[in-house]
Amino acid sequence: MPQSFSKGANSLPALSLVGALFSGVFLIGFVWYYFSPEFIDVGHAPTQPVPYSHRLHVGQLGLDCRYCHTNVEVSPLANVPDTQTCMNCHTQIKPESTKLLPVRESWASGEPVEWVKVNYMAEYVQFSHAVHVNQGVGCETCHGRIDQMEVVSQVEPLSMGWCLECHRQPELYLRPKEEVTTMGYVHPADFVQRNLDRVANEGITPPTNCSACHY
Amino acid sequence: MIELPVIDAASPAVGDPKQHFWRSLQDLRQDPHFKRLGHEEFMPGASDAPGGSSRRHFLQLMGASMALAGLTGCRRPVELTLPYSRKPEEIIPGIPLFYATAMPFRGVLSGLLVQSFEGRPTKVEGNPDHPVSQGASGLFEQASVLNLYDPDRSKHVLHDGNEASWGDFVAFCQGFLAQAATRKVAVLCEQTSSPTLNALRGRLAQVYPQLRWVTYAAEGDDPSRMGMQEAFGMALRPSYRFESAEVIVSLDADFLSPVDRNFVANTRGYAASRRMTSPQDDISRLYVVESTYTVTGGTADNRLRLRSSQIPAFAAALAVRLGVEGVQGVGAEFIDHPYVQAMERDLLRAGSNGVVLAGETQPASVHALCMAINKRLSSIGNTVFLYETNEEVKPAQAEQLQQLVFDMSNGSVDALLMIGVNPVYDMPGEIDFAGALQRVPTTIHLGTHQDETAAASGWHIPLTHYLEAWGDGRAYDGTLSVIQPLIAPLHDGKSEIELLHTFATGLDVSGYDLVREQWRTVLQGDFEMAWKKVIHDGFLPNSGFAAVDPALRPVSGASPYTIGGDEIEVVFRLDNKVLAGSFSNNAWCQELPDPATKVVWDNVALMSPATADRLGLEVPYDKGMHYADVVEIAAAGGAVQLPIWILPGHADNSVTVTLGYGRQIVSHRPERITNFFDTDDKTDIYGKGAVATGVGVNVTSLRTPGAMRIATGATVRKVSSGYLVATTQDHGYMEGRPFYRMATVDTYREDPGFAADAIKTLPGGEPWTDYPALWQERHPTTEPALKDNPYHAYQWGMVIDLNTCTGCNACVVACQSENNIQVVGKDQVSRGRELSWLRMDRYFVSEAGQEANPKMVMQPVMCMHCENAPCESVCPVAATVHSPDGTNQMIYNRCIGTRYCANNCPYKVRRFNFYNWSKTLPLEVHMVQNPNVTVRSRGVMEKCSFCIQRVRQANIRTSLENRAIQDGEVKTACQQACPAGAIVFGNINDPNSHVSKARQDNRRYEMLAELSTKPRTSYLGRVMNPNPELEAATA
Amino acid sequence: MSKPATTHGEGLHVDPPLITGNLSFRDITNMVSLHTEKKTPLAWYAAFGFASSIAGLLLIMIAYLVWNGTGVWGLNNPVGWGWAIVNFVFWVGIGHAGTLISAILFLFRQKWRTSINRAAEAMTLFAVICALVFPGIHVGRIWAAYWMLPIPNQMDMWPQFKSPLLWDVFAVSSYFMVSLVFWYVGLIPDLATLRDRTRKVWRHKVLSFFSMGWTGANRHWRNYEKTYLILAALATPLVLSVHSVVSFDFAVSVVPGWHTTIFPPYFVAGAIFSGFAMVVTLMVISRKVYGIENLITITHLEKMNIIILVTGTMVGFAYITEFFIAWYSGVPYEFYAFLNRATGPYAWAYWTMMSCNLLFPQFFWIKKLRRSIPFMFVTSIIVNIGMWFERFVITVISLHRDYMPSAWDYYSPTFVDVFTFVGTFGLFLTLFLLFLRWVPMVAIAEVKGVMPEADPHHYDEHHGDGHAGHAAPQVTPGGH
Repeated sequence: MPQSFSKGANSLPALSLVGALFSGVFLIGFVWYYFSPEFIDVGHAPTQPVPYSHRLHVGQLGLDCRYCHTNVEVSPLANVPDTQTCMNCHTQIKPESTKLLPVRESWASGEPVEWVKVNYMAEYVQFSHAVHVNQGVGCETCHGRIDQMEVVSQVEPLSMGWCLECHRQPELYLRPKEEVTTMGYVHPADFVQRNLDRVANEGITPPTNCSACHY
Repeated sequence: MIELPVIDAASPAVGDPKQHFWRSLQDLRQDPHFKRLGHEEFMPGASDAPGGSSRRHFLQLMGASMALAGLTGCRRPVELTLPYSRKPEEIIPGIPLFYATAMPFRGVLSGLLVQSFEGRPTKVEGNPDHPVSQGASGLFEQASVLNLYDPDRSKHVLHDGNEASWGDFVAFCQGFLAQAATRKVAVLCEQTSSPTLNALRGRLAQVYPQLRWVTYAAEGDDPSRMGMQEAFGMALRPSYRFESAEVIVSLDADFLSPVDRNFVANTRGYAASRRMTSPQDDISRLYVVESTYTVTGGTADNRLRLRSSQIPAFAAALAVRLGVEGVQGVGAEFIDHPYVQAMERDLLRAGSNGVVLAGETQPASVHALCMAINKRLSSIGNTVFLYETNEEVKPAQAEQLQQLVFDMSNGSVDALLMIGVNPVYDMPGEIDFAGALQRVPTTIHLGTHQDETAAASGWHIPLTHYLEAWGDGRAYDGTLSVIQPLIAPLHDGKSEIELLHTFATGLDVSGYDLVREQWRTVLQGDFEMAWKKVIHDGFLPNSGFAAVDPALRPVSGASPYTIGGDEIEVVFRLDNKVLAGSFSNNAWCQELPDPATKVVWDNVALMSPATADRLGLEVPYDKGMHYADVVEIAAAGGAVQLPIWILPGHADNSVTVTLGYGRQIVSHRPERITNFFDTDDKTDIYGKGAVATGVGVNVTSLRTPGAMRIATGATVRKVSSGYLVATTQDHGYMEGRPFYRMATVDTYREDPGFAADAIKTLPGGEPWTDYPALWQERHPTTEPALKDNPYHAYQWGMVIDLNTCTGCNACVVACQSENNIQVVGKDQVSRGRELSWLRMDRYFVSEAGQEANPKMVMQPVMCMHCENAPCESVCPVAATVHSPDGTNQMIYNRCIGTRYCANNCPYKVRRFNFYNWSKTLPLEVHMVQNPNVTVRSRGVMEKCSFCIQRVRQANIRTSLENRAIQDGEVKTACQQACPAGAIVFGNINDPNSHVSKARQDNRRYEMLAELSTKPRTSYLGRVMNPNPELEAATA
Repeated sequence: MSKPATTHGEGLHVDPPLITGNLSFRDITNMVSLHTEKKTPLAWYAAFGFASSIAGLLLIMIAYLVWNGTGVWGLNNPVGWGWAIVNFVFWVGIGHAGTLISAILFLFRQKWRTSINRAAEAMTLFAVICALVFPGIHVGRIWAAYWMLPIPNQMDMWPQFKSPLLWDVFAVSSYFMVSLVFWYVGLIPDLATLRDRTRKVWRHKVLSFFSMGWTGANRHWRNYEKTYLILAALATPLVLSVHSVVSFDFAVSVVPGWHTTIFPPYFVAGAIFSGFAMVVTLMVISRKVYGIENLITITHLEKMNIIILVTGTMVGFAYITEFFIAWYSGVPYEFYAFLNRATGPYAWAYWTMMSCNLLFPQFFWIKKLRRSIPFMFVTSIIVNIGMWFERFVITVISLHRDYMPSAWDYYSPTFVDVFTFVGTFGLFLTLFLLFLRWVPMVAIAEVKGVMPEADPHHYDEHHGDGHAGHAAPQVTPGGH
């Protein structure tokens, strides 16, 4: 009976071992990236009932974030504005616009406008906007250049690892409190040093323990 | 004082009818039919109170429940954010508000402070400013919030069993009013202290001249009130000041039980008389004479077990010995009883600092006798205060009832209103109320559920929960309060006053307006200002009753009972968990372990071991389950069959049964039916109709109008065996292990360190505290990650004073309510899978030869937050870790459920979610959950977290305000509820904090310190003050 | 180094021949290879059908568990670990004999091992597979169980290396790996033998793939022996470490009855004990069924029984030591834990364990019983029952009553617990049947190595020199 395998097949065992090793590493890498929020969630940009343009309102008209998101400095939740806030202006400006129809309906009926959540956080994460905003974490740092977004989308993974990047080295991200809502803020050259001083003086020590956010 | 928001009913913004307050779940679910009703049904008063809509948060909860159902893994579900259309003034989403209100409880009010998230009440606390509550609360106050979200509450007006509308009823009333003058109307009303309701009663009497008004309580007359009438000829209400008492004699009076109407004040007072800061402090001495084991009996220094029907004779003997004039030749059999002699000496020694009180099981004559004794001791005005309630002197309820039922059955009652009562269920067996009810042409029932009475009545109107409707009333000391609703009625509910007013006038006026009208007569000066202040504070200051000291009428002291040597008595008590049934559809209460027996989801016939032997009864313990014998108890009223339970320390030849079980509540939810491979149907406690339906047995048929509390001459015979009774504690004895440490005052004075000394040091005298622990090197708490952390400045710790803890269970329910702890049902409890984070360990302790009269001690046990936590080092995924502020935290979302931590916890305080309990919860029940605490899913461990959510809120709040957390600013749920102030929690880094001081107490000890776990929770050993003479006598 | 059966010189100790029946090399080859070559007997199909349907039960039970939650087991609050962990330790224990026989006995030059090591190693692998079923399914959130593995993730979280459970994961999996490789390397020459005997094309391809071009060249043999020796050296410490680590799961905790320093040696002894018992059970059957009594002789079985006797006595000694220490320590909780074992609600389990593990093996002092097939068969089964109960006693009895009497409770299994355990036996049998059918169940090459003919100086009148055997095979095809 002839040999069923050529001489070349002698390297097969070695090759298959190496192959298994590589595929194992590849698999882990694959799961690591493609199953992570960084891949799944970033870029989530749902269509809203009202085509509200942040680019127009923030970018061009230069509204401050806090004009609509009124509670961001006092409450865990950065509230979505009530219809009243919209109507403050839109009773005069574009009162007939068809795009604003849902808003006017809500105003008439008392039923809320059903905005779709963009930045979603799991139920077991306890996050407070107030505490971050008041320590000088810019809106932009987590939400990106809202002022350039026609449709708002999620720009950061909001994963635990991502949170920890800043909680471990706040000096790389903090900005002066008065600049919190600034879009496209440019850090001064020595900002790391300044922040380190702030961290030291104001005792800004973001917790990295589990029960800071999970309970 | 805390800044409380005021609900400004007058402000137009809130009154605006365009504003969307959701009124019910159909409404929430945008049921079109309901939307249509929405606006015309809208009444200005009914909904302007709460302010704000819960829709937004409610949908979040829905998201939560969906996520919990297992969607977390997948790509996220689309989440809606629903802002307000017009934002109510005071609401900031995400920040809870606290409103002052009050809960009606057995005819009195308890002042409350209720937490509300976007208009959704979630947690009840005592009102810190209220003179009676002073921030504390009992288990019923704590559990009442779940009643609001009871999925089986009555939802619609019913007419002859068919769904009708409130409008129909209003129309009916208008028609009925036509010949009001000739109508014979009777009203059967629950106990109430509401001025508005009393005013309406007067109004009703004008409209219906032949009105008959009967106040009805399922348990029967308030014997204390009848006793006062007997002793002083007027309606008085005794209030005890135990803080100034030296000797307390309780004759079957369970005054420390949450069932007592003045529970909070009693417990606070008693605790004050027992608190010790040094061995030199004097503490009161408590004698308890009782038939069953109550929490009061558990705290007694000297306890005598005696049949309740013999206690009148015992009281008489005591009165004779104390020389109460007019009392002679009674109580002969006890005149030389060592207890009577000891009490006599002690009481005379204590003089006006002594107090004698009788319990609800005792007849009015005994209460009168006790007052005579107190008079004799001249303790009235010192330890006893008599409030003049200005209520009319009433004949006994029994006579009124019999008369009423008689008239009903011979057709001389045209209309019967039943306000918040359920007589068909709880009327004594001898009275055929249901039959008589059929003879009344018009019957109207106002009740929270479609219960026994609703089924038998022509009209049924859903009764609102106190958090849904305006009302008012008086606290035990008479302090006036306005009941302020926090949410618009979830269903078509009406309050008592709204119904009565409509019945009297045919007009439909909101409760808000009625109460306001009434209070115009109460408040002086600028009404709007005063009104706002009352609503804001939750009560009207200095509106309490006046204390009087009227002359005593002669009392005979003759006992109404003559009972033979081994004649069996049956004693009827209000249940420690469900009262007479008003809380029986509350899952928290059903699963709350009874303080003495630890039995859940059942009512059992309690008897002493000796009696059980004599009757040949037993409760075999097999493979972790108790299989009780079932007996038939026959008394004058009739016979019932129910399982027995053998309770050490129970009086011989006495059987104790509790009311409130065997309910029949109609549920309109479909039964849960699942595939054969799915166990949800078995684990869903809401899956088989109403929670209370089919739980326990209704014992009321044993009673007769003459014997509402005690039935003598009963017969008990075994009918079957093998009935499974579920308990949370299988093993009642401490096996000589020093977990609960106590000593007598004398021992304490000799050896102040008795508690700490209970543990021998290591061979060679090395103290446990210096003993090296596992992972001593690089101990978690010394790691930079923890040291350089903002929370590290605070090190939380807790001290529990066993001297003042009575084991009343308030903390247990408070914890359940605060921390979203799920209920698992009888079957799962019997398998040992209950989830309560805080368990009340009950041990029986007896000296040699005293096995028949053991002491019963209570010890609250929750996570000890060990500094060397055994659970932490064994978790393979680091899901339970040490927090920088020194607590041990369970990270639910990291837990994979190996259960290794639970195995390795010496205190066995960890609880595992064997099933997904929140998956099967009805929508309504989800709304009671605290949004600040993660709702645990299946397969994860959970345990006491020292209410870390409250700590973290404080951390954030203070960091925003740039200040340190004050001592006492953070209270754990259990601590906040505790009326005895037995639980102290705080920062042990701060040497001046209460907890640091408590940790200096020489009675302090740590459980299992010898394991070097270094628990953060420690106990203060209990000091008893028994009468040495008696110890000698009984030994 | 075995001598010819017929020797000169009186008083000189002589080992009984390891292989009886005057077999030639070819006979051996035929006897063993035959069963993988001949047409599959119906009996095998019947057995396989039975075993695999029981294995199916295991799958059903696991599905039921995953769907509903851990609550379908009998676990409760004090008793967080029940049958699942008991079965895990039980199977891991059984998985000890194989590698011990092939590695340690190999290093000790115990030639008698050659007839049984192949089957024993196979049994080891299958037992460990059965064991590995449990750690995965016993956790509450099975879908997150992979968090125990150190894989980089977006949470920036690592497993906690302090936890004995994690040590377990590594210990058992590495033990499995090495045992697998060891077993496979040993197989290569025999696979080559099969390859050369077959005429079927596909069978030839498959076998040539797995025999990795083995030609039996001198160089092949030299490398083979080296590799085998190295692997044996690697496997030996693992045999001892794996069950020591498993015992840490208990020893590291604070639970009275678990927190004991003698656990590692005591567990290893127990493991060898149960492992050998299982080998005996299986060998007694298969040597009969496959008519290889001459290869696996009564002498082999006797030697294993001696090991059972020794390890059994060691285990019994450990039981008694535990009791003494519990009393001597003066720790009331510790002492109660052991008192509770002997007198508590689970006393029946404790005394079952005692009698099965301490009492029965003692009968092996008697040579007659040691060599009696029926007796050793029964005893080997009794021993494994006893060893299962040992794990039950340690796990459940210690937990159900530990420190706080208020938390004491009782544990009883549900039908899911029971059928899951039964199912693992189905899995075990299924795998073992496949092994018997497709792989030479006896190490042909190694057995030849211990035969008289293998001795270069061997000569005996019946067979001429030790090469091509002339005698007819002493075996009836198809077994009995």
